[in-house]
Amino acid sequence: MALQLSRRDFIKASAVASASAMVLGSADAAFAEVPAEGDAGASDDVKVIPSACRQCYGRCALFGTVEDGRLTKIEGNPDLFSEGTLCGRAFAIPQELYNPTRIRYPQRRVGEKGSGQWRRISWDDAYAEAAEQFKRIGNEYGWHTIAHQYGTGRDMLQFQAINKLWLELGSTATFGVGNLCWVGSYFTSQRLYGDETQYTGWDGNNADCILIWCRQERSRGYYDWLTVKRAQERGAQVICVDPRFTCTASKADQWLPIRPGSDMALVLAFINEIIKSDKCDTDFARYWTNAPFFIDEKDADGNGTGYQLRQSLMQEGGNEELYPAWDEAHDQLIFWSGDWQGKQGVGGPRAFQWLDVDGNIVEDAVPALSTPDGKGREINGKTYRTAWDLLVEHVSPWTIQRAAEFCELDEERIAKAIQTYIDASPHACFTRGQKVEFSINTSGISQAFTIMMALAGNFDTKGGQNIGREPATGYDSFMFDVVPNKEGRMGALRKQTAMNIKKLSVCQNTGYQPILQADDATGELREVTQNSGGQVIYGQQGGFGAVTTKAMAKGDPFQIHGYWQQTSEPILSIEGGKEIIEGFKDLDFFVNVDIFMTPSGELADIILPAAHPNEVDRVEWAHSGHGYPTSHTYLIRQPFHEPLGEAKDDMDICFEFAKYMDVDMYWKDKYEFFDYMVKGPETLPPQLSCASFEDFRNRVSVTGVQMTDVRGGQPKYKTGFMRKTSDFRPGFNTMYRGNKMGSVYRFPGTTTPDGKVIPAHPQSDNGKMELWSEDLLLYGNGPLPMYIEPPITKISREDLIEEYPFTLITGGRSHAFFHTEYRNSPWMREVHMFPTMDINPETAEKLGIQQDDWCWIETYVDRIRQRANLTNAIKPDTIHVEHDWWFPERAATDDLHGALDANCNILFENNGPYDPAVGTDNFGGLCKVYVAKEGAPDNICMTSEDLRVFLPLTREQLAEDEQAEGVTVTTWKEA
Amino acid sequence: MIRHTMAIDLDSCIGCHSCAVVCKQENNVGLGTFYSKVLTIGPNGTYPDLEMYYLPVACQHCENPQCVSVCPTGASYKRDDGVVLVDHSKCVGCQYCVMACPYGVRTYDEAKDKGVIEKCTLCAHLIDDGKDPACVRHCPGQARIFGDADDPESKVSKMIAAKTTHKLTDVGNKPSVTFGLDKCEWKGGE
Repeated sequence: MALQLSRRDFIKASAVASASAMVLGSADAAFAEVPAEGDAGASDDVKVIPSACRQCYGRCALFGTVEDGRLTKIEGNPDLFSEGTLCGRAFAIPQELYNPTRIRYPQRRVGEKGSGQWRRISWDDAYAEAAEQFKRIGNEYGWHTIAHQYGTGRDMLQFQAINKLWLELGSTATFGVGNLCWVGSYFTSQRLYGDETQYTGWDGNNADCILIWCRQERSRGYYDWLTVKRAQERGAQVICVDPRFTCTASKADQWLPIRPGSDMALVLAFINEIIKSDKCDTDFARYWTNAPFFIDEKDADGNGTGYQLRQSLMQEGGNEELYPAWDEAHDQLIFWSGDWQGKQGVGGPRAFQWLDVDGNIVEDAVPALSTPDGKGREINGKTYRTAWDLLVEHVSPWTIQRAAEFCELDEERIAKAIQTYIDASPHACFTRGQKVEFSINTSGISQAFTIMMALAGNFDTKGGQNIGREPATGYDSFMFDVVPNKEGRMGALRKQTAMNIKKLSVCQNTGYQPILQADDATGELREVTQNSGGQVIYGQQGGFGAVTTKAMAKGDPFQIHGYWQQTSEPILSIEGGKEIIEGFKDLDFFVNVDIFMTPSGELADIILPAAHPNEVDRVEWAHSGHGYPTSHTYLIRQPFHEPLGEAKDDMDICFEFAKYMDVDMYWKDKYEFFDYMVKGPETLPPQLSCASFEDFRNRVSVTGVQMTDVRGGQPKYKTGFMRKTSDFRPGFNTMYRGNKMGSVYRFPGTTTPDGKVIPAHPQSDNGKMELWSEDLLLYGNGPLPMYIEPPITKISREDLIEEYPFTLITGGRSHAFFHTEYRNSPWMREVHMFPTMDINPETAEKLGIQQDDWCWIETYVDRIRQRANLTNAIKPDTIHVEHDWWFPERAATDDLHGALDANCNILFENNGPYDPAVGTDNFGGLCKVYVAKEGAPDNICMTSEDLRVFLPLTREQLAEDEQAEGVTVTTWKEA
Repeated sequence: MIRHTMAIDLDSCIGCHSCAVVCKQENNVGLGTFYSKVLTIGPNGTYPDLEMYYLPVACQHCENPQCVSVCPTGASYKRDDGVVLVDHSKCVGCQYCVMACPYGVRTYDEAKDKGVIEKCTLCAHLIDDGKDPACVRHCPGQARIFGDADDPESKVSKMIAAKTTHKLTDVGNKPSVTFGLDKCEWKGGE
């Protein structure tokens, strides 16, 4: 037996509750080609273990039946938010656990990079060699020349451990992960009001309208559909905005088939119509946002700072924490005090209050949203307009008619959708998918969505946007790094890197590229130069795919020499995959930590075997949960058995390697942090606090209390619970601004690469939601969301149309896979065998393409092959291809397991422009399509029978092969 | 008398294939065989006024099953509760039933029991134990409803009463599985 099974107390404890309700029949044979002798039903060592799925972001609750230490069955847990439902990926977990391509022992490459030749080594040798190599590189070239990388959805706690380990070592560069699909929204929400509400935090349970923007019902957390469906049954209207007639579109009451990349025009029209309607929540804008603040506009001569006006900018010796506005109630100048820290003499009881010129609190102040006719108000001889004036001026030209032109939509459809949303507000909620994120304007569009939700009055209302998740204990994963930093335990290398980030960041030369921006007044597109905000990710200026690729492959702005990658596959998931391969081949030293052999793993020097998510302990929570109780629930993810072979938990690997690298992780091990997290703060109601992680394990899950229940139905921002500063003042929180290492471009006095000097400006956290955003201005986007035409469309690149006549979109989610995962799963591949291109039948006929023909999809950069699916779900001028395809059935020497044949991300160049704040690139363009005479790529599985190479290994097979000569990847032709 | 039946609310079905996969786990279904398939019907109509639904298709547990009529060995049989099953000990793998089935939901599995016919059993081993079939229990859209068609108070009878219902084409075999569909025009399996 290869499995060393140790009995664990928790298994005994947790199995009791549910075992009686389960069917315990053996299903071992379902998971192995040859049923192992003596397995069938004979065992009395059967446990049913409650745990969570990690096969997308949904974190559905499940039970695993484990017989004699082997997982034989997955079933849904009906007692938690996923209501016992599970998608196919959950049932395929055993096929992942016992997959032949799984790495079970540490490996050292013995042949050329990409030769697929490996030899097993011990953990000690692997760690020692890695430590020696990384230390050599760090000392010789600088620690910033080591890049690090983590994959999406593996879990936030694992991410924290990886990030901490490498930030402490002074590494900055990363390919990023969320900054191509989520960070834009997260970052922007944090800046504007201190929480997130765009993917999560929508209250479908009570909504009268659900506006779903480019999101699939069945991409992650399928239980969302139950919420949407029940809302519809209650009479709620569901509006779907998506270029494709997706499952969501087919279920929706209204569908807006928007032109890809034109979303901003439609959101601006939403905002414009909301402002013009009598439903516009002007009270919210007046009392809870910075809309009444005067703006110190820059005039044509360059006078003015361009920031929010402060008293200090109006008069000599003025206070920089006083934000002027006009009091309609008393016709007087008033000032909002942002001095919650009490550093400017207007704190204490006066903080977050309106004050008169003498500093007295004006209880009944009515701050004016606009100035007379929106033309400005004269104060001390200078005329100022309000943030509201500027917002209204900005969005007014964005009529439904203009949106119809930009988005290629029918005016009536737009008008109806907007009216439906407005009518349902304040009980209308909004949610979005990643696709809106794949643009060079991702932070801008996230701001526009925020303004839309805010002015419709939907923030923290029943059926609206319940701001943020409220984790049951009040502590989330970010405390992993926040706590040690608060205690001054940041290491010297990290500090040095932070202080010299401008020289040490791979992002130092990004930005300053031409983009096509719409002129508000005329709607005409004009070329302007993009700004740069330093491209932050999670608050640190670390990098993103394209720039890290350039650093590795081209030495621009400096050469990357070392690389630590953990459960990620950039060759498939980042644009410019061929250049990434080039970069990986140039590395001096590369450690890959993963579950399976992957294309990039074949280019590593050392591979460390990661445990499967269902072989480790975690505190887990739904990453796509909405409304109560999903948004308030923690659940256990605990192992079905010990990791196979010598595989280890990713978090444990970080903690262990930290010792080799002399890194202070602060926490002794993962359990010390888990204990801290589930215990929560002192103020936590006792029933929500767990004594320890073991206590939590026994409880299986903890569901928190909605703030609205605690505070008499009041919105969270009125109760002070939005304030992460714990001052509990009513209002929002924008404390993330100005605090982070790395965001150098925002620091006063900094000279940007184009020679501009960032002028002095106070760092504000004044408790107001920012509609007009000083922070986004500093990050390069501009203070208001602008329409930017994507760089490669029929409008921006007329020169390409003749040769590449079709609009190409990519990355629609497939329910069979999770990004690069499951291509080696027999059951999921059977459901979705081939990479699939969607093409309209009319177009296909013209091109002589038949259903199931293999076709070349070619852009000016490269070409790939996918199989044609003729469908009316897509417009005749548009082509959709799937993302992240590779063929693990092909050998390492066969194009790195077929990483280039069908991988849509090689169709795009990686030369920018990028989103100035978070670095998102463009993943759409123009293409031509033609039948591939060659047919399918060589050496791929073509039938269910071919997939037998991926069937789970039996106990005996696992025991026999201790991977002394690497992981045996059997190609189907050899099988 | 209990008459077990399945009803599928197509307005709730999101075509995720969970039923197809959980069935493989529950019934040890081999590669290349599906008891339950999920078809995409459409999108039909004129762009952008389109309609689409997903149609999970498995054994329809017909009232007058042709597969049973043609079976030379009596391996295919219908239980009193309406469930149509194949007794593998009697099945010789002649595949007459495969040809007789109007819906193509029977598969010859060479590898199993020296070559037998495989198909949806409505998880008879579970329902005889008072449980729901695996696909019903786990359906992410909660679209599948199982129960007693003769009991007007059963969930399945209520769902059938509440919705516009359809059956797959009946060539005299009287399929028992009911499909509810209010939001789109029924196009059968086309």
